[in-house]
Order: sequence, then C-alpha cells, then structure tokens
Amino acid sequence: MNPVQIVEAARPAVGTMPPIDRRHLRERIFDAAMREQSEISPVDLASPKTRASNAARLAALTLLGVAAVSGLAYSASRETPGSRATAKPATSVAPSPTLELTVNTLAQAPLPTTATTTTVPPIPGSVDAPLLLPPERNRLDELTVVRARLGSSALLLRAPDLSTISLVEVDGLAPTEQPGPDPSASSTTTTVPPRQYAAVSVIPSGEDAPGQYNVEVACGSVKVLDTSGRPPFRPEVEALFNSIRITNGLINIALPDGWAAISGGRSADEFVFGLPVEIDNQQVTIMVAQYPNGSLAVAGNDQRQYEPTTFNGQLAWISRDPEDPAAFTLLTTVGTTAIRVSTRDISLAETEKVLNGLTPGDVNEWTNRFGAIPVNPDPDIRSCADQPEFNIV
Amino acid sequence: MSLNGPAAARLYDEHVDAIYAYAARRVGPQGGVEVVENVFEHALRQHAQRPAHTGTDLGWLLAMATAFLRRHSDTECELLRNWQPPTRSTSRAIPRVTDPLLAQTNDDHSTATTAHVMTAVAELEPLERDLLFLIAWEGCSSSLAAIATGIPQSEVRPRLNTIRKEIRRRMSARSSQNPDPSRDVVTEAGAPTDGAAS
Repeated sequence: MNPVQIVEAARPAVGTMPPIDRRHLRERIFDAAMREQSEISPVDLASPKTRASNAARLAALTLLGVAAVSGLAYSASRETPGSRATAKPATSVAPSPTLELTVNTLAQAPLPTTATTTTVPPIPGSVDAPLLLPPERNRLDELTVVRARLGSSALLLRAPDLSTISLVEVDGLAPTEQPGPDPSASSTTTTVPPRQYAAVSVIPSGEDAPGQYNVEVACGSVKVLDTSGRPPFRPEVEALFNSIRITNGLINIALPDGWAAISGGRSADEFVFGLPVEIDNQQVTIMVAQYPNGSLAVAGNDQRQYEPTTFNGQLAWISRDPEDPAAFTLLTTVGTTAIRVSTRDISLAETEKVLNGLTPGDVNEWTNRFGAIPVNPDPDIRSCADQPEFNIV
Repeated sequence: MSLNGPAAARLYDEHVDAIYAYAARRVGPQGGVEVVENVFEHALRQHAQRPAHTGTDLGWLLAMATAFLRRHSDTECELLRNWQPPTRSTSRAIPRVTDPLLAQTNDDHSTATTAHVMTAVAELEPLERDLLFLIAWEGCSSSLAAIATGIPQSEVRPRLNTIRKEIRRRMSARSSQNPDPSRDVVTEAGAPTDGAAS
C-alpha cells in the first residue's frame, strides 16, 4: 500500500453532528438570516439619552402629532360611504369607468379598517399562530413532533369521586378471530375473560398495564385509562361501562349522575419541546407539548389524575405526582391550542411567566427553526365501516 | 445576493452533515462542531461576497471549512501524532470470531504502519494535509478538492504525488534515525482508489 492508501484506510468513521448542536446552530443560522432579511432595524435599546437625541425625538413626535391631527381633520371633513342617509343604493348607479378613474386619482385618507395589519402582533393560540415557540435561541432539551393519529379521538371524564378517567378510540381493522385454546397444550399464561356490561364487553389490559381496559368494538379499538393504583373494575369504572352503548361504531355514553365531561376532541399533531429555564439559580426544564386545534382530552390522554386549578386566569387541570410533590403536569389551553406542561421545582406562577414569554408562531416558523416535521406514517388501514367515535348523550 | 432565511436553512440542511464529517474526522467531534458553526455563520455573512470560482455550494463550504480548520491545526496534528485505530463495532447479532490470519501480530503491524504514516502526515504543510484528507477521506474529486484548497485543478494530481513521496521520505528519515523492526515498509504498489495520486 502506498501512504495515501494507508491514510484512506484509516479514515475515521464519524457519526452525524450531535442533534442538539445541529438544531441549536440551525436556529441561530435561521435567526441571523431572518434578521438580515428584515428591512426593519432592531430597536436600539442602548441608544444614549443625550439632550440632543431627546430634542430630536421631541421634534419627531411633534411632527407625527401634527400629521395625525391633520389626517383626522381631513378624514372627518370627507364624505364616507354611508355618511348620508339619502345615499343611493350602489345597484341603481351604472358603473362609470371615468368616475372610478377620477376617484382613484384622488388622494384619500385611509378608511378605517378591521383587517389584520403587519403591526398587530400575532395572537397566541390563534389560527395564524397556533404554536408557542421559545423566544430566544435556547438549547432545547427535547424536540419532537408526533403527527395526529388517523381517525383517533379522546375523551376526558370526571367521575363523582372527582377522579378523572381518560378514553381513547382509534380507527382500524376489524379484530381478527382469536383461535380457541388448544386443550393439548399446557400454558402458564392466564387469559382474563371479558366482562359483560349492559351493552359492552370489556377486557382488562392485564398486569403489565394496570388500570387500563379495552372495550370490545367492531372496528379499531377503544381504551379506557384509569389510574393504575386504583382497584380494578372499581364502581366508577363499572358505572361508566354500564353507560356505554355502541351503535354502528358510535360510542354513545350516557353519563350517569355526578359525572362530567371535561373535554373531548380528535387527535391532533403534537409539538413538544423541553425548555431549560433558570429559576432561583437553578436550572429547570419545562416540557411543553402543544396540540394546535386540539383538546385537553388529547393533551391529557394518560392515566394521571387531574384536578382543577387556575392558570393564567382560566380553568386548567393539574396532576401532581404523589411520589414527587415538586413535579406536576398541567393541562391548559391558549386560544385554540391545547397545551400540556410537565415540569418540577417551579411554581405555577413562574410557569405562567415562562409560558407567557413564549413567542406565538405557526407551523412554518417551527419548520424553519427546527426542521421539517415528520410525514404522517400512519397508513389508512381502515377496512370496515363502523369505525369508533365518541358521543356524549 | 443575500441569503434569506429559508435559503440559509436549506443550505444548512443540505450540507451540514458533509461539513461536520469532514471537520470531525480531522479535529474530532468538538472541533468539528466549532468549525461547522464558523462555516455557516461566515457563509451567511459573506454570501454576497462569495467568490465566483467556488462553484457549487458544497465547494464553497468546504473551502471555508478548510480555512477554519487551520485554527485547529494543533489539535489535528496532536490527533495525528497520537493516532489510534478506530474501535471496531461488531454486530450483536453475529458473534465475532477472530480469524487466525487476522491475528494480533498483523493488526499490530498495520496499526504501527498507519501510526507512522499519520505522524508523517502531521508534519506536512497544512495545504498538503488539506488536499490529502479531502481526497483520501472525503473522496472529493480533483475539481472539488481544487475549489476547497485553492490549488489549480491541474496541480491536484502532481501535488498528491509529491505528498506521497514526502510522506515516504519522512518515514524513511525517521526509520533511519530510529530503526524499529516493527515498522513496515510502505511500498510503491497500489494507487488510491480515485486515481488522483497515480
């Protein structure tokens, strides 16, 4: 071998750039590029407050004030459509190109408009800005996007004993026929027989998933999630099963007395990031999962127990970990977006501050900053007509 | 022409892996990340002044990476002088059996040879090292290596030949100063796979 070949053979195998560095740098690159692209200069917060600059500011303000007053006076002096009670209907006048031309050439003060302008900041949780994004180029601890599950929806209920029970249905195939047990074969595994209720059969998930139940349906699956620590088939759970009727896939739940539906809704895309923040000189990570156009039921589709609380002046739901009192999971909404916040060693008030400091943005901005979101990998395997769907009656 | 946001992000997404691999191979993962940062920040600032001869985006970025790698020359030379064979990753599914033909002696021998070659590479001029690694490790074509190093394309092959001879000369000089029976004799046989050094 010649030396070049030896060097070639010694080529070190390096992996890809560490994801956290790759993502962080991408954000910085994109941010810098956006700043460069913007025609508006950043506000100079550090400009000196000298007497000369103050005088210049005062002069500019005076000019602006004069211009504004003149504009208002001019606007008030003009006839605007609808200002005359005797105005002729537009349909009675034949359109005149000449007149239109004349009107267009006149200098007009802008008419009042309710249309969105670029100076209006995006509203968090609105259709235009459904996501909250970290305002600075923080190193995020985690960043994932999980696409919505095809034909799936969730329901979050509250039982009379104030426990919360979560339900989820997923569209899918008809269940396959299970072969009967082979009497010649000996097995150590025990199969739990389904329990029959008023109109449904229920199979508990088993010891590996305590507190979970599967309701038998013609297509897809329906799962009921209770807290794992509670006795199986406790009275509240049985009352719920007895209230379920299934008609052509529609899962009608006639909530018994004392029950309440906290939330329900279809599966939505999940955008998650872990935001490190410093609270009292201590590094805390706040996991924020967002579900644009989603529901609290989708955000809280788990076995946690939620209780009402107030967050940012509105009703929210919180689950505190009995094993770790400093940790909590909070379900809240910002506009049309459902949000789940999981963190520890931080108060609700501080969490509010952090969340309120996030920047409203849309999916495009997320994609530009963090990279493309995954393509929905769920193939449409729905093979039967009676797909499950919840209905509270 | 300025590089706007989406275009910057696209440039980054397309080439970050190649630039990182090139840099990390030469100066390690930490230095690699630093070089990638420098390259893309510089690319963003200097896009308007991008030289016409840099051709493709990759060539332009490699040229910048090569320039920024000079800041890490000490690290690179240190790594080359203390070169260690990469640890072999074996599949857990297939039990690895060491063939007697690939026994320890052969491994030691080739490792020692490679280590001596790498030491000689560390002593090359930085430009020669750039060219060598672009060709031998990154598999760059002569034209891409020319763009990345600034060497005229017509000089790439002759330069590589010179590098080969220089490494051999340095190894011989070292071996005559400090004879070591374990040292391998680097032969003339064979040529680099891309033929650039022939």
